[in-house]
Amino acid sequence: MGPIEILFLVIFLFFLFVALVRGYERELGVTTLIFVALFIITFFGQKYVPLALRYLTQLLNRPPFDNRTTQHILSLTFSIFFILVLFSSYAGDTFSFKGKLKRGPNAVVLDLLIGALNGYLVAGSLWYFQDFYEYPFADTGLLILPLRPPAEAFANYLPPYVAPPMFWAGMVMVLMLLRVRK
Amino acid sequence: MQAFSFGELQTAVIMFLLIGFFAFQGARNGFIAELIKAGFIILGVAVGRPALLGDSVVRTLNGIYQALLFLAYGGGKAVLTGDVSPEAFSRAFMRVQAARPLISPDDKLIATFLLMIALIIIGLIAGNKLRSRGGPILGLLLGAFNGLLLAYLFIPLLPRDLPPLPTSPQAARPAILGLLDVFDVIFRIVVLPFAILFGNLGTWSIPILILALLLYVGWRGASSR
Repeated sequence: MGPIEILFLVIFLFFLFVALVRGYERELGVTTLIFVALFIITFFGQKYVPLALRYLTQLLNRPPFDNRTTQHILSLTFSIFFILVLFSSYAGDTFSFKGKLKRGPNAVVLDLLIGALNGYLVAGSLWYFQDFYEYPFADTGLLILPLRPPAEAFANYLPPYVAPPMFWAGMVMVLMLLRVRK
Repeated sequence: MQAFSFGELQTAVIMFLLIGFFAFQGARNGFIAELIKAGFIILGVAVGRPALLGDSVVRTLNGIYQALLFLAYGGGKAVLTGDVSPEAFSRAFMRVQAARPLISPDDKLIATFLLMIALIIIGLIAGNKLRSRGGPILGLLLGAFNGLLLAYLFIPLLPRDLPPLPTSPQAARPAILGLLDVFDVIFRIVVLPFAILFGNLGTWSIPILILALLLYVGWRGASSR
């Protein structure tokens, strides 16, 4: 596959284009669910899933997983959960906001801004699940390590690193208020 | 965190300017003009690389030059006068062989570079002559691509403290290195303004920026059903 920043760029651009096509009103619904997923993972998931994993191995009466295997399992679990939430936010009757801007340059600017935010949140979170668990995906040979200097610099700004879990919960509340305000 | 140097900032600014300028020209000139430009630029790049077309072009030019020398050194006269004796031809061949080639191995790099520049300039002039052909949006996109290509070609040649673009540690895969460098430049352009901003203000500014963006969109564009 290649360096992780290329993957990041591709996902980022993909969400930018998706936002341009769907419009910011619908994309804000996706943003809300991304915040929900980030809150669940960073507040509950990273605390309780490792405990549950340990409990499960004891229950099955088998030796605990070694550190690298645990990193693989956790990274994969959170990535899959995140992607499932993302998929559900696009599938079926989606949660969306009602826009009041007519379609035009102003609306396109909002589309791009929200698309960029979603791209950063999605690509950044998937990157974080690799970075936090020391790039388990690199063991498959599909990810090139070490990170190149720009990627190394950017890895400090991945969403879960820049804000505490409660921030994502706060953002959900802000969006809900925006959604229901008269 | 690794700070971005002033040289990197210069690189990004120059790239932005080049891409913006060419995108603007592309929107004005149209798709067909930009396609011609792109064709000449790509041809120029191929000629500028010895492994692609550079060596073949040098060989061809040297061959043509030697053929002309052969005619000038008596081969032409021998043909015209009907004196097609082996002596006359071998004399001409000997003189051609003794003569310096048009492009010697020492001059090969500079010659292919100049040819590349010439082709690119021809492409730019030809593209600008063909205004208002084709769609402006496609023209804009292709123009931006041309700008990126030119920036990729020439920015490493600028004689300042511009850093060389980092290459992948996977040096065993030269075929994808050029593409990786292009991606690297795009990534830097996308990330650099934010890295400078957040590097100075601190990472806390990102959540504030997200909050501000959502409030702005909520105030400006979204309301209840």
